[in-house]
Amino acid sequence: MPIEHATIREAVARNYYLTAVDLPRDAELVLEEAIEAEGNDEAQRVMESMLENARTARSEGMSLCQDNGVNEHFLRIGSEVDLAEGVNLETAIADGIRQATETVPLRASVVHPTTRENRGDNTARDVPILHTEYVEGSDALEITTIATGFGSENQSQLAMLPPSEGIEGVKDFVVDAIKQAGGKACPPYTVGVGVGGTFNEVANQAKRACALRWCGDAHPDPEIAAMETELKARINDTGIGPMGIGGETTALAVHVNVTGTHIAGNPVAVKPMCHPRRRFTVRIENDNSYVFRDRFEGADHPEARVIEAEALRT
Amino acid sequence: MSTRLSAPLSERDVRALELGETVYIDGLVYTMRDAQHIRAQEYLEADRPLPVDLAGQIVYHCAPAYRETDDGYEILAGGPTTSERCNFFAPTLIEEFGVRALAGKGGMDADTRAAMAEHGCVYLTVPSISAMIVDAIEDVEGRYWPDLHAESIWVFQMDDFGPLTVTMDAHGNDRREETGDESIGTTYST
Repeated sequence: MPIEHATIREAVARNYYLTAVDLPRDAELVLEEAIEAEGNDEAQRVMESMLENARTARSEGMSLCQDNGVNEHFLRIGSEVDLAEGVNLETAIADGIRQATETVPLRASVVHPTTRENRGDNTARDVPILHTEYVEGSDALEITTIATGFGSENQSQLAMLPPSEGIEGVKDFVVDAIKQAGGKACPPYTVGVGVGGTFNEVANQAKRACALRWCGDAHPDPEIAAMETELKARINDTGIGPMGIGGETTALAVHVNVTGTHIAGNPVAVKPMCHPRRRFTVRIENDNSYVFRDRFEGADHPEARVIEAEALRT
Repeated sequence: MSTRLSAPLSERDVRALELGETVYIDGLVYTMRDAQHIRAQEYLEADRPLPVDLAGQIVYHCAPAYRETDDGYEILAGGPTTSERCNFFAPTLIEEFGVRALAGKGGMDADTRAAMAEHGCVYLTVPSISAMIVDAIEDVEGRYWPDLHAESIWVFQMDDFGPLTVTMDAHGNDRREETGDESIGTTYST
């Protein structure tokens, strides 16, 4: 039986619920490490309260943040995926968001941009926001849902720098953006940086860098990885600290994604993602079964969890 | 060092607080963010009284997730929002309405800081502890302007709300002056 509307709706509803209540394993690990390493007692106490909050939310099935954000979905559609006749992915995903918003329930945070009308169900014109890629040979439909809260989204920055400013100009822009964000976006951050590409692609890569990569995993290119290490050190030297109260931990990780660009261009985008970096992935098979993971694309991470649909209460 | 305070607060209570101090709150907390600040400004301009008396009270920048129950409301999550969007009306809340503490995240602008020093008010940074705050809410004492949904003025009776950090004191000091946090210069102008 091909994948049905009801399967996608149910899977997305449960996945959105998981983004709300369940701290991804990578976010938990880096926060634990940061608490261990932090030398400022107040900063340590604040991060301990964050971890306690996330664990309370997970065990009680409570939202770990009141803002479930604008829901964005990164779809990986296998070339062998078989959708039932008449299934519209956009509609099925929107129905899942509505279902979760009503039954969990979640705060309705999404409005029309000009009228500010709120439908009360976390959908609006062209929300859910979908990003789609095709995966050759796969027979699964993977949907990674990000709860994009706007405390952190509002602190994102993008610049079309001239090539004369080079990579040093890019790095300075990243550090300045975090100094300006200060404590406004729930640090310690996973800082996503896009370098190169075009106006829209550089922002897309910044979002993918902070939200989709396993937190703290270095970029496979050693030069980019060195830049990530340098930026993390510079950002932590600011002393902004958790929630901006001061301390040694401002960034949990810096992830840089790079894309080829134009001879005239040097685009950079920065997205400071709040410490819980809420996102979950559901993988739906052609037989309508599905599982949830806190690991996006690629090989399994030894610490990543797989949550069976049956284990979830909604 | 940590201090336990009971709201409403006196000028003496807040003048005694030091930058960096950890605070836990008992008593009343009033939620106001974007929509409530806009409406409060409209009320003031129209010479209409606010539905709540904010003298000595704590204004918390928050719009909780909630559900209506048979006998009231159940708060489901209640973490802080970014405070800078309230800069446009915060000095008035302090000067005209006697608010003694603002709570939220990220700090406020220079005008608000000046009003805090002049009249006696502090800014408390609330960590992202949305679920734990639910445990600290003993009771929902009131809800005003319900047409604003989550952005109603919610009046919470709190027990041990914290840990909060004094990041702007009542003497004109701001934690951001000691760190590389440059956000005070980048807050929205109005």
